[in-house]
Amino acid sequence: MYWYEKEGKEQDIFLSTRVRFARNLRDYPFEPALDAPSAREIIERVGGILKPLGYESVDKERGVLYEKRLISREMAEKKTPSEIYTKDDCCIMVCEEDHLRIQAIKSGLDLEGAFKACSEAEQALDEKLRFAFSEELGYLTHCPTNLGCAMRVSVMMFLPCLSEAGKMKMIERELSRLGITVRGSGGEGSGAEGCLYQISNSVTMGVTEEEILENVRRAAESIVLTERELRRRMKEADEDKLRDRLLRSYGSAMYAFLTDSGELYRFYANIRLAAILGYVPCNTCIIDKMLFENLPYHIISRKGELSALERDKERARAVSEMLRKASS
Amino acid sequence: MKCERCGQREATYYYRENINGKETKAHLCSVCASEKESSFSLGDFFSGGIVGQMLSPTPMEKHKRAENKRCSLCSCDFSYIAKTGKAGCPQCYIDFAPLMEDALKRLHGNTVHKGRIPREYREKLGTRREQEQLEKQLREAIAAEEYERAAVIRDKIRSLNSEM
Repeated sequence: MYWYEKEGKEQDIFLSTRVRFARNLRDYPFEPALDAPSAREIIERVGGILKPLGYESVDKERGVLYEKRLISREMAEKKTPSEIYTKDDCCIMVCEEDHLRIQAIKSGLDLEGAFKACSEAEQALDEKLRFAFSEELGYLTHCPTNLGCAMRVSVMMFLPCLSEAGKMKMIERELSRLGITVRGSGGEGSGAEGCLYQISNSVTMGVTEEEILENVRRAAESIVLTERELRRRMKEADEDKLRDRLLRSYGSAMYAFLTDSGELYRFYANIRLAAILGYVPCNTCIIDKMLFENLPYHIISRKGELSALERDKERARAVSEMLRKASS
Repeated sequence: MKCERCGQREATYYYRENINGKETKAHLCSVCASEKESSFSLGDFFSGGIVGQMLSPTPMEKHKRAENKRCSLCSCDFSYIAKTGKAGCPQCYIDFAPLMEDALKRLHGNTVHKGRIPREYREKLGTRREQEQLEKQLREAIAAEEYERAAVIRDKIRSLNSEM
């Protein structure tokens, strides 16, 4: 079961919570100096530690894993030797930008849970490996921006009302002063399609892991208050119009014959909000699944190579089927 | 020291700016420092072109010294790091430490690592951190004239020192 299929806390706003540590082995260079035999050696060593603990290597298409937000885009596009090990909520990328990217993903809001799971995986590896570390700079990473704790905490949030009210730029500015970054859900460089945003720490140096968690929690809490308030006001202002707009989107998704990815994101945002407000009989997990599992790589993985038009046809069919099942 | 910009808060950052060879230096508080830096995003700060600009205030002799120096593990030279904005290997941070110092300070402020410590460093660094913590508590206890508490803390520091 993937993270988006599980129930989590405060799912009206939070899709997922992720904690990620970057770690490197002291005696190996970073890419591009890391040659293929050395990369394979790292993969072997890490696998040798993780497999007895119940981790499995994942051979699913990388594009699909990226669309499920389990791995980074960089990892999905990688041509040189690399590996992905998973167990429960943990997903460890070996030979991505850093030698190890240890991450845990939980559904909904669960900072402690994700931190605990990620820490356990990190500790297990720390027992057997020699991590690159300096007393002053902390964990040594490929990119100097990650030095220090080399920890990234991020929550994926669904913010349709803030997005529609045009408030996200302002929030982005305000939070950047506090060392918090706001991005589109696909990670660095991606747009905020489907009103999905990732809120994460940018500061990793001079703070403890617990302080980072607390900073992200505070930032997320302040956003939650405003989003909920806007939802309440929007409903109060003209509920009939709002309901009409969201249900029209639901109807279109149900009966469309061709749905491209952009339209899928638009349907998604409207139907998810409609479900939260109780206008349509779906829970948010089904709607999240409808989005992630109908992105391009998922369709190709399910149906093989299709033309863009054929993909849009398959997407429209699958979305309609999912929504019908959910309401029956 | 008070912040040289607002004159109110305690200065915790050392800010240095070099525009067309004109250098400005100031001791700033965190608020003023973040306002000064706000036109840069952290991500851009250390990547590609900006890192070159950032390294420009470094004295020429440092560059000269760097020309022939190569990292002892990955054998990259400093121009690679300045060009890509990324380290060639973990050892680069150690071998090029004096050259990277300014850039890292501008990126992370005047701070050092406070978080988790890997297993093999834990014993050594853990004790040192504990000692620093106790020394801080000792200063606070003395300032508050709580001499009995101070004596207890002093004994703890002594026993830690003997262990080290």
